[in-house]
Amino acid sequence: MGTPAVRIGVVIVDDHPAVVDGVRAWCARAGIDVVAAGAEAAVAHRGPGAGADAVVFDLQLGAGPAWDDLTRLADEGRRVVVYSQHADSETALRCVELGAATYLTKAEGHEHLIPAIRAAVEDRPYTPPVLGGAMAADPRPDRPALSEREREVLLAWFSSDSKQLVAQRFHLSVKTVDTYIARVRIKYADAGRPAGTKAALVARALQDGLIDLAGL
Amino acid sequence: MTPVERELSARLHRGLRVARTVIVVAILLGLDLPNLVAGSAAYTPGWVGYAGWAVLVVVAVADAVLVARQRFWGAVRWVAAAVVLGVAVVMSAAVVPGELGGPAHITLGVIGWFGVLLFSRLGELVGFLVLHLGLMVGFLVAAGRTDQVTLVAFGILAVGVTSFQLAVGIAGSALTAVARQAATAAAQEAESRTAEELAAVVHADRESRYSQVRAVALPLLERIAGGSAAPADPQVQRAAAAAAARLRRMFAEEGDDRDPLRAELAALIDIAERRGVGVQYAQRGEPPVPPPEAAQDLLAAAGTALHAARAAARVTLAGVDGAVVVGVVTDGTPGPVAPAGPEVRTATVVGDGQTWVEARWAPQR
Repeated sequence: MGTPAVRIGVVIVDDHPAVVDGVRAWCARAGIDVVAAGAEAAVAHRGPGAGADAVVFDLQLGAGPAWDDLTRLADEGRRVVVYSQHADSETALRCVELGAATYLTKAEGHEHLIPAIRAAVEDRPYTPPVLGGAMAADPRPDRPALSEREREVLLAWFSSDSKQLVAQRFHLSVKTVDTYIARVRIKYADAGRPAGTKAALVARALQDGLIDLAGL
Repeated sequence: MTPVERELSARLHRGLRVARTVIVVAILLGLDLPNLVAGSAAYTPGWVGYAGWAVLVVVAVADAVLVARQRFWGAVRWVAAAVVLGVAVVMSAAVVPGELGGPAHITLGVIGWFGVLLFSRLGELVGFLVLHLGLMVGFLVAAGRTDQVTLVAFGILAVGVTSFQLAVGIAGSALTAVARQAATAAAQEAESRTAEELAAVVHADRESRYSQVRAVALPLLERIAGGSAAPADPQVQRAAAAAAARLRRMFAEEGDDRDPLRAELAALIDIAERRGVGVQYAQRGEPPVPPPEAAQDLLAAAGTALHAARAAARVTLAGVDGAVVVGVVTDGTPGPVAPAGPEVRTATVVGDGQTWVEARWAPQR
């Protein structure tokens, strides 16, 4: 993934100053501009935050999960990268269903936050291992139908956190592993609540040849 | 009432119920029938006396059948009580005013006994008796027999008969209380017996685990003490870490943890972290609880991989479609994973400077 011609600007919504500082540092190293940061979702709706390409969003603002704020951002077509200390599957899957571009736990940030922001801005799917695990182990009866291979690959991705190791184990190329993981994300996008960001995700996946219309 | 209380109460009440049935049948056949025959002229028309008596016999027989089958009237008791009171009203209305309270007015004495048969709760019985006596007083007043002599005679009769009926009713309530106490005592005894048996099982389990520890930790300590194993030797260090993990697991199990696999995995991670390894842990899905041998195999695979970790490791636990999958990725080179039983499959992938060990248990279908 080369450096894009136009610089990426993100807004950080998080009520822990230490987390904001950490994300700022990662972004600075990656050449991503942090245009605004604040402890409330409002910071993403006004001033420079309103024009940010992506929103790094801490789900746990104040009392409980900020579902309403997340829904509003998704409805406005904002690309939201949920970055939460919540590690349970239900929360992860709900975020994706509400229209978040992706979901990662704070433990995964070090490795996955910057690639996740880049992917979100390009409307490309990005599934960090823990979100992959949540999809592979999704117990709900109305979950999207995954093929046996897709589930295996996703579970292995969760287990190993290395596409290289997954590829070696199943004798696939890393690109094929990527395709399996991306396809599952698209299936979830297609199954969930309609949101502008999801349509963009599916459209992009069609263009990239990750899926075809018959596969949906 | 708990089922045990109900059972005990039913058993204790059975004798009392048989006695009550005998009393009622004896009164109906031995006392009331001769009085009816002798005083049939007291009723107009005359057949009302016999018809009412016959209805009462039917109710008494129905009760006798229930007693024999160890069943109760239940909600039907209200219907039966209404029928019995109806009989009392119809018969009392048919009695010529002069015979009210006399020997031929058989309902006066016997109706209260039906209350005893039908109502096991004292409050209901008292209500029934009061209602019946009230109706009878009403008939006396309507017949104009409010003279002192009649009322006193009626009062003596009412108090005499009713006190018998109440005494039998109270005996029933007392038995219920006794049954409840007996049931509580029985439940307590059962509870303490269960606790004793549980303690015995826990003790046996601990004994077996101590013997495991003796087998794993003692020989190693003896070898180190004897000088045949050097503490600086990485192999010895690994064996010591494994033994320490065992010990910690054993202590972890002291708690009443319902999921030993998760507890032991946490213990393994703790050991690695104490060595300065950064461990990332994640769990997905609801892993079922595998049988102990399978859990030991899963943990053995995870332990082998974790002991080899140098600076970083990733440990995952996943439950997918009834299977349990434990995965460990390390930056070290673990020794060969011990062969697992038939229910646990392990896979090792080396690449990218890392080693990924996965062990999966799935219930045999």
